[in-house]
Amino acid sequence: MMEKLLKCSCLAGKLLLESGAETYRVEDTMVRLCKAYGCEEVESFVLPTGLILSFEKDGQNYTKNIRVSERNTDLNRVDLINSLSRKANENHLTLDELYDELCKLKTREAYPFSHQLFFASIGAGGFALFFQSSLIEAFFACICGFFIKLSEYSLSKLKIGSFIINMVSGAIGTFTALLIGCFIKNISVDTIIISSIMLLVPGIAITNAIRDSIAGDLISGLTRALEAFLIAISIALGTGAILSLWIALQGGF
Amino acid sequence: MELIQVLIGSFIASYAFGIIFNIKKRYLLVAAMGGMLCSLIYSLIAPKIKNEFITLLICSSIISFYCEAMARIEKTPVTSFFICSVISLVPGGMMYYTMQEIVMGNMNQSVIYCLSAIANAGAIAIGVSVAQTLLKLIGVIRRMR
Repeated sequence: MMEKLLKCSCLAGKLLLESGAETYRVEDTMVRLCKAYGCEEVESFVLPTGLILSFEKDGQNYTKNIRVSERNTDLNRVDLINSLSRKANENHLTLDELYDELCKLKTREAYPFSHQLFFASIGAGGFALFFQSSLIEAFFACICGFFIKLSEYSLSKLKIGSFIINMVSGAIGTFTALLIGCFIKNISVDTIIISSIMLLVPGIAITNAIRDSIAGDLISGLTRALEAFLIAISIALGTGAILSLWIALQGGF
Repeated sequence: MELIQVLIGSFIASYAFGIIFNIKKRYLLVAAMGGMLCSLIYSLIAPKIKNEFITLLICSSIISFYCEAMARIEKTPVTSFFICSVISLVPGGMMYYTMQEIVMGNMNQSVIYCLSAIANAGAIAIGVSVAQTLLKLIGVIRRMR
C-alpha cells in the first residue's frame, strides 16, 4: 500500500521534472500527495537531475530516489499533474486510480510534430517581424526556423545529447541563412540568423535559473544556470564554426 | 506602422512558442495576447527610459501581473502563460552578437555583449520576483485584516 504511494508520488515528481516544472512545484506536489494519504514527516529534496522522497507511516520509514536525465518543456503536463494532485487531496482518489491517471499522462501525446514544425517556422518569422525586419526577411527566417526545428527533432530521435543537437541545429540554421544571403542581395543575414536562433536560445532557462536561486533553491539554480550556459555555448559553437568558415572562404557575409 | 509590425510579430512568436512548449489550446490566445502586451509596453517605454535593464524590469513585472491574474482566472500554474508571453524579450540577439564578435576576434566587444545578455535575462527574472513578492504581500495584508 505504502510502496504504491511511494511509487505514485515519485512518478508524479519525475514527470513534473521532465516537463520542466519549477523545483518548488515538484517538491510541493510530492509532499501534498503523500500528506493526502496520511503520511507524516514527509520530506522531499529535488534537483534538476534527480529527486529524493521520504516519509514515515506507522513507525516505518519509506525512501526512494529517482534519477532524471531528460528534460524538456511540456507545460500542459505540468498543469494536468498539478490539478491531479489537488484532486487527490480533495476527493481522495484511490491509489490505483491515481497510478492509472499518471500512467495515462506519461504516454500522453503533445501537439503533433507537424504542428510544432509549422509553428516553429512561423514563430521564427514572427521574431523577425519583432526585430523590425522586412516581410521578405521574415519569410526567409521562416525557412531557417523550419530547418532548425527539423534538425533538432530528427537529432533528438537519435538520442545524442542536447549539446550536439543544439550545435548542429544552430550550424544548419546559420548555413541556410548564409546561403540565402548569398543568392538574394539587400537582406540582413544577421536578423534572419538571430530570429531563427531564438528557437534554440536558452533565455527561459536562464530566467528560470535566476528565479530558482531567488526562491532559495540554490543548487537547482546553479544547475539550471550551468545547463543554460552549456546550451548557449553549443549554439555559439555551431553558428560560430559556420560563420568563421564562411568568412574564411568568402571573405565576409 | 512599425509598432503594428512589432505587435503582430510578437503575437505570432508567443503563439508559436505556446505550441512548442505544449500549453493547452484555450490558453494559447491568452499567452499570445500577453506577448503582444509585452512588446507594446516595451516599445512604448524603451525610448523614454533609455536603460535596457530598467525597461526589461518594468516590462516583465507588468507582464507577470497580467499572467498572475490570468492564472487565477483559469486556475493553472503561472508559468504556462509567463514563459510564452515573455519570450520576445529574451536576449537572443545579444548572444548571437557575443559569438559573432568572438569569431571576428573582438574579445572586448564580445565580453560586453555577453555581460549585457546575462544582465537582461537577470532583469526579466528579477521583474517576476518583484511582482510575485508584491502579490504575496497583498495577500498577507488582506489576511491580517
